[in-house]
Amino acid sequence: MNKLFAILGLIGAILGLIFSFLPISNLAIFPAIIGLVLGLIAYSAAKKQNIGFSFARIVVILSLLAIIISASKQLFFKNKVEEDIQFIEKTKKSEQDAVKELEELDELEDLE
Amino acid sequence: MYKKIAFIGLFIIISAFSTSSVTSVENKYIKSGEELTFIASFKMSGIMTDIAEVKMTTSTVKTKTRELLRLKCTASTYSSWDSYFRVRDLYESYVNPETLIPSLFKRSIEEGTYKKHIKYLFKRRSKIAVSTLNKKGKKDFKTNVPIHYNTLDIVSTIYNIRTLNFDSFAIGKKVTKELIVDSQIETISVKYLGKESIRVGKYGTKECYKLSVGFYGKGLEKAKGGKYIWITADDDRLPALIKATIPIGTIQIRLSNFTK
Repeated sequence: MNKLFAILGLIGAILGLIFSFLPISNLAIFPAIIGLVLGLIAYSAAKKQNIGFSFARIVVILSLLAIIISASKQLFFKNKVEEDIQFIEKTKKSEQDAVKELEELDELEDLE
Repeated sequence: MYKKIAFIGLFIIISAFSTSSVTSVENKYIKSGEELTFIASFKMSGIMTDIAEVKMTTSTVKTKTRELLRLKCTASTYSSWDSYFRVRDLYESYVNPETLIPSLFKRSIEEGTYKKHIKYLFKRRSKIAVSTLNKKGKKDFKTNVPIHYNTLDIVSTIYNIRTLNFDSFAIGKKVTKELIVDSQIETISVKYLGKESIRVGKYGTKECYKLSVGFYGKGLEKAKGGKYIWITADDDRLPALIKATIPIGTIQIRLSNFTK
């Protein structure tokens, strides 16, 4: 049973870690908390039975790491749009082209 | 999935403001120099993830014979998303500043590797819109779309809606608007649901008009579902919040900054 908890906890911790490095890092909290809870259960059970608990400890550490990375990204990194010179130039050119197109349209409408 | 979210998100912010289909509006709210910034988010499993920034700006454009209002709308993904799915969309509508009826609409989409440019030149006297479509740099595809005097595009529809006199609307009043989308004439409806106070970012709690938006026509099938919009009930008529439910979650677009 301990092993099952630890393995499921490890899956949660790994998923949490993967999510924490992606833009959807705030979703990492779900698998990471599951990993942490299962890891802690496995850890305390292994300790009580006096059997090896290093695997469970790794699960707890990885889960905590995922939670810390995810929380730090939420707290310290602000969403921003990178300045895109090409896009700015494109919008300017689009306006210049539009003026020409509108003038052509005015001429066409006058002729009709 | 992101392409769908980007389209629906943009479409909702852009098209959710439509109403009375018969007469043109008399614009007293939309002036040149306005800049609205929004945060577009996707809600999944109860957690909101910010995806992109949407900007809507107005400026004056002069041709040899007249002065128009340029309504520009851009959508750009945040830098954290750029390496996975980069969006740089540009929507422009050149409208009469008094009636907000468009003469020219341009849409330039860059979503991941997908690129598309579309342009509608509204020939009001001939009652046609010349649609020019260009996908992935291939040859232009031109078609003539029959229009009415008050046919709008997706951007001018938003601004049109903001100018409506909601105070005279009875709760439940439903109005429709005709607009051109993907070279087809489509209809959207807006139902007035009454006033509601909501939190508008750093501007605190504001009283807003709550609207429900419906889409008709094949071209807008993908935009169907529960969609709501809140417009501030003041002289600024700001689109404060937009919520749309899609099968995989909820899209939310909220006002984060406003200057005029």
